[in-house]
Parts: sequence; structure tokens; C-alpha cells
Amino acid sequence: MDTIRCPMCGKENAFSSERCNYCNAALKPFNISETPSTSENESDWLSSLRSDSGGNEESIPLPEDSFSGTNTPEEEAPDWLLRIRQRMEAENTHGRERKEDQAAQKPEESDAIPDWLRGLSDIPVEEGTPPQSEFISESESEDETPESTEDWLSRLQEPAQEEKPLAQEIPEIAAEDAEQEAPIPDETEAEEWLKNLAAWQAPVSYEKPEQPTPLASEHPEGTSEEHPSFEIFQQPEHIREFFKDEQNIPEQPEEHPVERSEEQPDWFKALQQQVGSVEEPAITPSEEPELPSWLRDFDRTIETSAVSGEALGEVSSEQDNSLKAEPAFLEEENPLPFSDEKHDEGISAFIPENITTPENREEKETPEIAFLEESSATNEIQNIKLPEEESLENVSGLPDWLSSVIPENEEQPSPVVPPFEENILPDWLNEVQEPPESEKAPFPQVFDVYQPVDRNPKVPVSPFEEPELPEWFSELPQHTETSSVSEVPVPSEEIAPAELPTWLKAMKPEEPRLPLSDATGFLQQSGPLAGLPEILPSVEQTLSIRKTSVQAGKLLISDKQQRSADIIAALLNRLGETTTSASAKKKAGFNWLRLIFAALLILVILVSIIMTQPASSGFLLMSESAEAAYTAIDSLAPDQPVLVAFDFEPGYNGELSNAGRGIIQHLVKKNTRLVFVSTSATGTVLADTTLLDGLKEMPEMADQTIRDSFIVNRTVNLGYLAGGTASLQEFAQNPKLAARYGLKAPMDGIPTWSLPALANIQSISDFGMVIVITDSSETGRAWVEQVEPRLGAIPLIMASTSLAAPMLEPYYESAQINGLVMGLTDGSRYHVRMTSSPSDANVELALQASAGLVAIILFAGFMIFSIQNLRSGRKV
Amino acid sequence: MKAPVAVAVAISIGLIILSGYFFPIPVLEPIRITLLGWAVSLIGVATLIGIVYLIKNQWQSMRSKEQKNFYSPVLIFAFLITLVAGLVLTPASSGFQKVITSIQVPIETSLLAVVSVVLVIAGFRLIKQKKGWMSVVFLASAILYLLIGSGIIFTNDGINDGLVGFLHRLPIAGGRGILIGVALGSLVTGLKIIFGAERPYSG
Repeated sequence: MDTIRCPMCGKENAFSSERCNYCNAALKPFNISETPSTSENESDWLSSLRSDSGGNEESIPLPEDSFSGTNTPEEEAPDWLLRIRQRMEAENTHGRERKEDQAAQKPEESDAIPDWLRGLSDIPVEEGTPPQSEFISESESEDETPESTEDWLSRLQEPAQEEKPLAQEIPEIAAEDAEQEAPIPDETEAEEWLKNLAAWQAPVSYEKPEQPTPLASEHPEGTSEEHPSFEIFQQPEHIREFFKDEQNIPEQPEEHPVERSEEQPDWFKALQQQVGSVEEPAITPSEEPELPSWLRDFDRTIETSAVSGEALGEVSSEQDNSLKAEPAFLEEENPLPFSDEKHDEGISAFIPENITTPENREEKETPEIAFLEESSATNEIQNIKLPEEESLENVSGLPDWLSSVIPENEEQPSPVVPPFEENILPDWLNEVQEPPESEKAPFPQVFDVYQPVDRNPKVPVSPFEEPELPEWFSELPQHTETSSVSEVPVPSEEIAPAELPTWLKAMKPEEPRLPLSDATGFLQQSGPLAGLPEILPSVEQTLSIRKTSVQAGKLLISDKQQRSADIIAALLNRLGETTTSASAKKKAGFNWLRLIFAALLILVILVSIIMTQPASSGFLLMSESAEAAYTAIDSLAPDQPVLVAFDFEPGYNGELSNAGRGIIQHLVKKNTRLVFVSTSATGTVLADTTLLDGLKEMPEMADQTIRDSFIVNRTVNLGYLAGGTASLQEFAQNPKLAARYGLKAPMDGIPTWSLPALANIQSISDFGMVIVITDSSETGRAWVEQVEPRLGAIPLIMASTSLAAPMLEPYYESAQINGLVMGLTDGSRYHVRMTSSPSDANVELALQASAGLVAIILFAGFMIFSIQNLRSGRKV
Repeated sequence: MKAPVAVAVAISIGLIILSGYFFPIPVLEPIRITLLGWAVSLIGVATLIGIVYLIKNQWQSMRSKEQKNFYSPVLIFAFLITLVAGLVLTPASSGFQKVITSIQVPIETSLLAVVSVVLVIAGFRLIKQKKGWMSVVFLASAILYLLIGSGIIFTNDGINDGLVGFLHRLPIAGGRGILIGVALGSLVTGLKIIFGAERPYSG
């Protein structure tokens, strides 16, 4: 070939290259002879194998496809498996040539075959059955079919050739050459056991387990139904046929026919003969080929072991006998550690379950290895059924080199040929000597997880297997079981218990009485602790828990509180209730009294106004405070600025307008400058209105021009002072700052404080008088409290309603106010003094009449209802 | 505003204003004037806020489906008209002043008249509604002072001294007592605010 396929990535590389150009994997199999020993402790057998196998540096050309149908990614397989595949493929192409060469194998290489392996060749083979090596795959005829590891064994039969790098690569099988007929005394011990390893393979089939075997999991690559696993194809045809029949596995490619060589080793012949014969009698230990002792012992253990039906199945007696042919070395020198029947079970447990048994195989076309068929282990394993669901791909088990040794004919198991001859053991194995049985530790029994432990847990289990405790243990302080509470020192009888004095006993608190519960011997009946003794009873105590008794206290409430509570409850109950229908609803009656009283009042007032009569002389008498006010205003010098504050609501304009007009007319007659201000938004408007009305009543101001001139030159309206009492304080401190702009400033654009009416006025004390016309006592009080302290000698005059007069009169009494015009009476009389208008008398008359009427009404009501109450009281 | 800061501000300002009353310190005068100016401005702004709040409530009641008020849109309309007229005509205008004199004065006067009639009827039924000596005394005093205040008892010689004078001065005494009580209460309230014991500004 010019190219070589990489076993890892499958790409073609040059034949001469050693590593793949794509994945850098080794293209050529590992040559043991080329590799240096990695450690000094490498066993001699391995080194000898490497040296004996020769420096076959020629690498086996890898076939294009390692195995037919296998879809196993080569990257996932271990290296040794890959190498085997490669070798198998190479063997396919060079199989026949190799076999021809095998016939001409060197006697030196044939001498390397151990005796036990040679003995396998003595197995009789039926005629017609193509010679088959267990190590040769049946698919050898096809290019794409995998080649079993039987080739390596067949190669062992053949002389070591340069074309057999397989033996060199696989350490386990490298030592096994084709020569097995005669023992090779010159062969090293390591080589011998390696060569004889294949002899103790159990070529039996097992019953199909219900669950997949653990060994099957080790080979996940062979799980596809379409592509059988490597292990299956490695097995001889009879094995594969077994699988096919048991699990309906599709037909597997035929194995490559075993090319029997003329000089096949005896062991191989024996295997073939064993496979060929169907009812081959069990080979007794005397008839069987010479098996190493160790293998014979192994067979014996397998024979005697009782295999569980699930795992391994039944074992036929024939297989038991075959298993008895175990290597001698195993019997004598190196007896198996498993000396009991149960120990054999353990061994058989390690045998894969899916190994076919000779019984399940069909016509034996190829010989089988006798020792495998005759072994008792095969008998045991014979009945092991393969899992139904598993295909050949899922079958895993013994290594390839071992699985290929399984003979076809399960009915006649081949005798187990021990890998070592009797008493010929490798050095390393001789060193490992089985201790005498008396010293041997009992093999641990097979532990079944499903079976309960019948051991009494209370029985102490010594951690030491040996009955004799070690020395160090004896040095420890011993704890005897008898030591318990009894170790508590008992007080001696000599010391008498002290008696507590009576007073101390009285102080002793009463010990709480714990619930009497005998916990000893009490077994919990329910709950998670059921069955456990010496546990506080939980169920009973929980059930005995009672609810705490709640003593409801009686709430003491009085009768009045109860009635109030009832009322509230009734109100709450009525919430959301809709009103009753209109029929139940009482129609509210017309309130005739309101109409009558209103009518009477209006009538009286109208009559009083209509009646015109000249005011009497007494009509001009005012109250003392009003007189004082009149006097104060009358004493003003001409051209003095007078601050007049209109702080009343429009509703009281009727009561205060007369007082206002009168005061203004008086001030006009005194030729003073009038400065109007208000802390009410409507006061400024009322001031202008009152001024205008007052001027109109004056005969000297009858001309509008004069009035306008007077208004422009002699009056100024400072507007509205926002802020209430605070604004009064500010105005009192700095009138210019408090009232920067007048009411008419936005219209004429003239600065307010530049008007003639405000000439020479810098502070509140520059005014000649302050007159406050108000309807509330609070406003008057504010003026008195905020402004009056800053006035000094400047008189403060007030004109108020009858409502506020009583509250402002004390200020007059205290001389904080220089005059007080109270109500409509004083106001109208003041006005009459100024104008001598008869209307003011009518107004006062109307006032008096209405007041009298109201008094009468009140009195009448008082009388009427009092009498009515008296009458109702008498009746009750 | 956090409580400690508000308290500190209130106390400091109160002390400054009060000290300006008692101690004519030239340094405190401008500070007091400035602070008063700020207070007046804030009160004016509060008045505007009150007006806006009133209009907002009326607007919401006008738009609400549950509590629809017929007079809300009338009030809002009147407000807007008055506002526009005042801004345009100014309060000094005689025309705008007629709004006050022709509308507001009669309305308020009428309200007071209605109140007087209601009070008469209530007085008339006082004995019937609430029995007791206080009701009798109240009615008696009301009748007396109606006659005195109306001038019926007046004589041509003025207010008679004696019983009438006593009776005339009796309300004055009562008023004085009330005024004294109010003054004292105002003083104590002011001191509380200065001392921080009362915090009406904390909300």
C-alpha cells in the first residue's frame, strides 16, 4: 500500500509516515522492541517477550476498515483495541499468506508455544468443519469483517514472524506463540503463563441476565444493533451463532475460516476436536491435555461453585468436569484463594454473563478449545442466558483474547488447559504463596443486598477477624459490659443522711410532678420511631394535651354605657339601609312662621321708611363714644391727612354706610386730606363708594367737577393690604413700603406717594387721625394692637357695628380709642348731624321698629311655649 | 421642612420680632421690617393658593359623576368673569366697582337679612327647643338689648344712668373680660411658639 489509514481519524496518510498528519496519532502499531523500558521494575517476562518477538519493525498495514459494519469511532476505543483491530484487518488481507507462512514457521518460534496451549490443538475436530481458531474471526473471508483475536493465538502457533506485530504489541498475548505442543523448557516463566492465559478461558455461554452486565458497560461502543461489537466479532463463529440464535441478532459476517496449519499445536487441535464433537464426553482430568496447575485449580473452583441463576445460570455436570481440569500449579502450589463452594461463586460472578456456552451453540464448524468446553465453569455458564435486548454489540465480557477462546460446542466443554504446566510457575507467582488454609482468612461470603442481615445487631461484632486480639488492644483499658450504673459509688453506711431542719423543709419548693410514664419497656407503636424501645411516648402525650381553659371575664358596664352601645349598634345596623318608600315619607310642612315673621319685618321697615317725619332734637343725641369721635374729628386742623380704614364686608354696608358718610362729610368739611386703606379686598371699593356718596350729599360738592377735583387732590386710596394683622404692623412701621401702589396707580401711572394727599407723609405718625370703620371686633382689636402704639398722640377713631361695639367699647373705656361710633344708631345720628337728612331718621325708626318687633316676637314665643310647656307638664 | 429646622426658624423670628417691640435696637429694625415683608408676601400667596384651591374643588365637583353640583360651573364662570374684568378694568374703575356694589353688597346684605329672620324664628322657638333657665335668660337679654340698642329706651336726655346705664354697660364688662382672656391667650400662644412648645407649622 502506498497509503496508510489513521486508526484515529481514518484519514489516509503516507505509508512511510509514522504519525497521522491530521490528528498526530500513531499510524503504526507500537513496537515493544523499540520502546525502551519505562521503569526498572518492568517484569522480565515483558522484556523477554519483547526480545523474543523480534524486532519486527514492519508495521502491519492497516486495513481500510478495521471491522465490517462496526460503526465504532476509533477515537473512542482504547489504543490496545485499536491495535487489535488494525491487526485483524491486516490479517484479513494477509491471512492466507500468513497462514502459509505459519506453516513454515520457525521451529524456534513454535518452541515458544507453551505446552498447555499446544495441548489445545489436540482437541478433535469434526470433519467438514472448517478449521477455526478461536482467535481468528469468522469474518476473515470478508474484507470488511473484523478479525478476531484468535489470530494472535494462531500466530503463537506459528513461528514468530516479522509479519506478526500483534504479538509484539499486546503484552498479554505477545508471549503466546503458536507452538504449544511441546513444552519449552527454555522458555521463561513469564512467557509461559502469558501463552497459557488463553487456555483457561471459559468458552461457555451464560444465561441471559435480566439486567445488563457490568462488563457490558465497559464497551459502550458496541451498542448499535447494526454494527456488532468488536467482542462479538472476535469470537468464533460458534459463539456468534449462539448470540444470533439467542437474541435474534442479524447475521454476522462470517468469520474468517481458520486456516489450519499442518503443524498446528496440539492444544489447538484439541480445541478443534472439542468443538467438532457434539457429545464429546467430558474430558477427565486424566485425559485432558496438560493444563497448568493453576488453571486446573481454577477450573475446579468454577466447577464446584454454585452459580446463581440470575447471573450465571446453571451449570451442567459436563462443564463441571471440564472445569476440574485446571492447571496443576493452581492446585498444588498456588491454590486458588477460593476453597469453598461459595468462593467459586465469586469467581463465576466475575465471568461475564454473556459468554456463550457450548450447549447453546449450533453445529460446530470449528473446533473449540477443549479446556473451555470441558470446564465446569462453562457448564455453569452454559445456561446463562444472554439479555434479550442486548445484541451482539452489547455483549461484552472477557477480553478479546479470552472470549475468542470460547469453544463452539458447549455440550462438550473442552478441558481447561492451565496456562502453566504443573509446578512450573513464574518466579513472581512462586513468591506469592497461598497461606495455609488454617491461616487463611475466611473468604467473605457473598453479600446479598436483598437478604436481610440475620445477625443480631445487639451482638457485638469484633472488628478483628482473628480471635486473638492484638497486643495493643490489650493495653487499652477494658470496658466490661457489667460496668454500668453499678459503678456509681454507694455511700457507705457509716455516714447517715443529714436531716433538714423544719424551716428549711418549709422553704423547699414543691417539686413538679412529672407525668407518670414508664418509659422502660415502652415500645413506640407509631410514628417514625416505631418499634424502638426506651423512647418517650409521643402519641399518648400529644393526645393528652388539652386546651388551656380560658376564663372569660365579665365586663362591667353601666346602664348609660349600655344604652350608648345599643344606640351605636343600632346606627351601625342601619348603615346601608335604603330609605322607605315615598308613602312612608312624611311631607315636610311649609314653615309659615318664617314667612309671617319675614313679612312683618319687611312691613315694619317699609312703613318706617315711608313715614317721613322730621328728626327730633333728641335724635341728634349720640352715645358718648360717638360724641367723642365727633369731637375728635371736629378738632382736626385743616389740611391734615387723615387715614380712614374701611375694613368691613359689603354685607354690613347698610349699617356702616351712614357712619362712614357722616365721618367723611365731617372730614371734608374740615378740609382734611383723606387717605383710604383697607385690609379687606372689598374695602377699597367700599371706600370709594362711600366717599362718592358722601360727597354727593354735600351741597358744596354737588358739582361733579368739584367732586372729582376733590377726589383727585384731596383723597388717595392706598388699596388693599394683604396679610391681615401682619400687614397692619408693616403699615404701621413703614406705610410707604406696605402700600407702595394705590388703587388707581395702574390706571394713571402716577406714583401713589407723590400725590398731594400724601404729601409730607413718611410714617404713620404723620397722619392727623386714624379712623377705622369695621364690622368685626377682631379687626378693630388688630388696629388697636398693631397701629395704635405707633400713633402716639394721634387719635384713633372707630366706627363699628352694633355687633362689634361691645367688644370695642373697652378700648374706648381704656382710652386706646378716642371715639367709637357704634352701630346704625350712632352712625345715622352722626350722619344726620352732617347732612340733616331726614332719611337717616327713617332708618333709625325702621331699626327701632324692627328691633321692637323682634323683641315682641321673641317675647311672644317665650310666652307661648312656656305656657305650653307648663300645660304639658301638668298633664304629665 | 424638618422639625428641628422649622422650630429653630420660628423661634428665632419670633424672638427678633418680639425684641423689636420691647427694645428699639436699630439693628433689629431693618431685620424686623424685612421679616414682616416676607410674612406679608407669604400671606398674600396663601390667599391666592386658597382661591386656586377653591376653584379646583369646584371644577372637580363639576366634573365628578357622583357629586355633581349645579352651582359649581356658575361659580367658576363668575370667577373667571370677575378675574378678567378686574385685570382689564382694574379695581379703581367705576365699572368694576359696580360689580362690588351692585352684586356683592346686595347679596351679602340679603344673606344677613335672611340670617336675621332665621334668628328671630330660632328665638321664637328657643323655649320650645331647649328648656331651661339659660334659655329664659338668653331671651330676656336679647329682648332687653334689642330695645336698648334700637334706642327705644333712649330718652331725650341721652342714655340714662342707673339701671339702663348699668344694663348698657353690662355687655361692655363682659366684652372686656373676653378681651382680656383673648389677650392672655394670645400672649401664651405666642410664648409657646417662641419656646417651641407649640408647633402649628409642623402640619
